[in-house]
Order: sequence, then structure tokens, then C-alpha cells
Amino acid sequence: MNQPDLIDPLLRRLPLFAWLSAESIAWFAHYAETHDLAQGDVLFPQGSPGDSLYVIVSGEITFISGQSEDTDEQSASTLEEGETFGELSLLETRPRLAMARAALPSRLLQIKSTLFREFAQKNQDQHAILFTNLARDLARKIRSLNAKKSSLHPA
Amino acid sequence: MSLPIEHLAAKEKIFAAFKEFPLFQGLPDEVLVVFFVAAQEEIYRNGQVVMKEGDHGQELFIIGGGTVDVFIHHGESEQTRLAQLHKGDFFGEMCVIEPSLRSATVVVSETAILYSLKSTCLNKVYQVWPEQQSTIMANLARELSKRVQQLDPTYFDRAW
Repeated sequence: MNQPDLIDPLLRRLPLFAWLSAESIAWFAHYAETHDLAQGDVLFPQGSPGDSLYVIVSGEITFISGQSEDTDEQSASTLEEGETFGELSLLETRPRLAMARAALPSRLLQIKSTLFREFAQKNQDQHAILFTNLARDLARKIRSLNAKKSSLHPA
Repeated sequence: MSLPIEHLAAKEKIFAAFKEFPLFQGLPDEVLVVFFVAAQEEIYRNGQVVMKEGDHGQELFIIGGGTVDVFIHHGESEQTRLAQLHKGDFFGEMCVIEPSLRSATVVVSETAILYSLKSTCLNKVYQVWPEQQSTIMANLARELSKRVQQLDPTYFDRAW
């Protein structure tokens, strides 16, 4: 069973849920699933269908992708409390490029893409807000990455 | 002066190109026609500045042909080229998400045909076809996600 009282304010703080009505946020808070992971637990393996948005309620998640099996070359990145991942599953389902593992004991909130689709059918205008938020988030990411690039490599 | 029939063929060609733009994928023809009619076609020569960092943005640009370079701190000592964009790419898209200042300067590097669409035009389309806002924003997000991936090659590891 969920604890909407705790999840509701968490969702409200996410840029992805900005400008959504209180009813919409309450709906997601009600249907989102929480998962607790012990340190070292695998959330999902590489290649599994990417069909959910996750919010890190607490803890830390590491993403490990094997670039090539021959050279055993790997890349890793980490996300922390308050951050989200899997957001492009809102657009379409694709096989995951990396495995996700809990670097610390972690609590996650999972919103399945089927839930977003159900939401879209009932709340057209709210769904448009959600997608606008997704685009805004990405545009802001690009801006901050560009700013970093410019400060690292001035021409 | 071109013959009407040639004129029509040229228009059809441009409309076909509009259908191929990633930003317009999945839109019904009736909506595409509105963008097609509303879009302003302009030709820019090499070296011409299309938009300047810090200006107020009112429209987004779609490249019908040619090449443009995207800079920050253009003309200053810390000038950095962020990207080179080609046919089918778009820029100045932030203004259709929220009122904002241009985050970069765009300079034409190879004679370009650009189609500009005002953000107010998109808003009018949403009033008539509210269901298309999600489609356009999804297209926008999909294209922007590719740019994030180019800047941070680990991004797609976490995006699904």
C-alpha cells in the first residue's frame, strides 16, 4: 500500500510535474509504486524494456553499461535522491542501455508508462503540460551542458 | 515570373518537406497546412546572423536547406561553437515552451532556407486542436533528448 501523504509533496517538487493540477498529482501519487532496494540490488538489467519513470526518494542508483563485450569497456554514472530517470519511457519503450543497481540502500518510486497512457486518455490538457515539462527539462539540461562545455573548452 | 503549374509543384515540394520535419511527425495534414501557410520562408547568406544570444525569442526556425552554426559568447574571447545544424533540424525552440531569451547566437555557414514559426501560431493551433500539443511537445522532447545524448553520452543509459 502506498503512502500518498509522503509521495504527493515529492511529486510536486519535480520539474516534470510542474503546473499539474492537485488532482493529477494525487492520482499519480496513488498509483505510483514504491520499491526498497538493499545496497547492491539490481533494479533492472541491461536490455530489459524501459517502460517506467523512476524517482529516487532516498539512496543512490548507479547505471552501468557495457559498451563492448570484447574490451569489457564500461561506463558508469550515478543519480541521487530527488533525481529521476527513465523519463523518455513517456515517449516510447526502448531496451535499456544500462543496468541499474543500488549503490546505497534506496527507496524508489515507479510510475509505469501504461499509467501515463491511461492518464493521457482521461486528461488531454494535463498530459500536454506533462510533455511540455519534459521538453522544458531537456532544453534546460542542454543549456547547462552547453554552459559547462563553454567553460571547459573556450575557443 | 513562374507559371502557376510550376509554382504549385514548388509548393507541393515544400509541403512534402514539411511532412518530413521531425518536429511535425504524426501531425494530421490539416494541422500541417496551417504551419505551412503560417511559416515565413527566408533565405540567408553565409555569415548572416539569424538570432543573437540574449534577444527576446518569438519564433522557432526550421532549416529547409543549408547549414547554420550555433555559438555562445559569439564574437567574444570565450566564443564557443556548440553545434552545427542542417536540413530538418530546428533552433530557437525554447520560446515555444516558455517565454525566454535566446541562449545562443546562430550564424549561417552555408546558404540557408529557413522557415520561421511564431510561438503565437503554435498556441493558436493548440486552441483549435488541443490534442496536437502533446504530439508536438513529444516530437520536441524526442529531438532534444538526442542533443542531450550528444553532449552527455551516458544520458541514454538513464533515460529509459
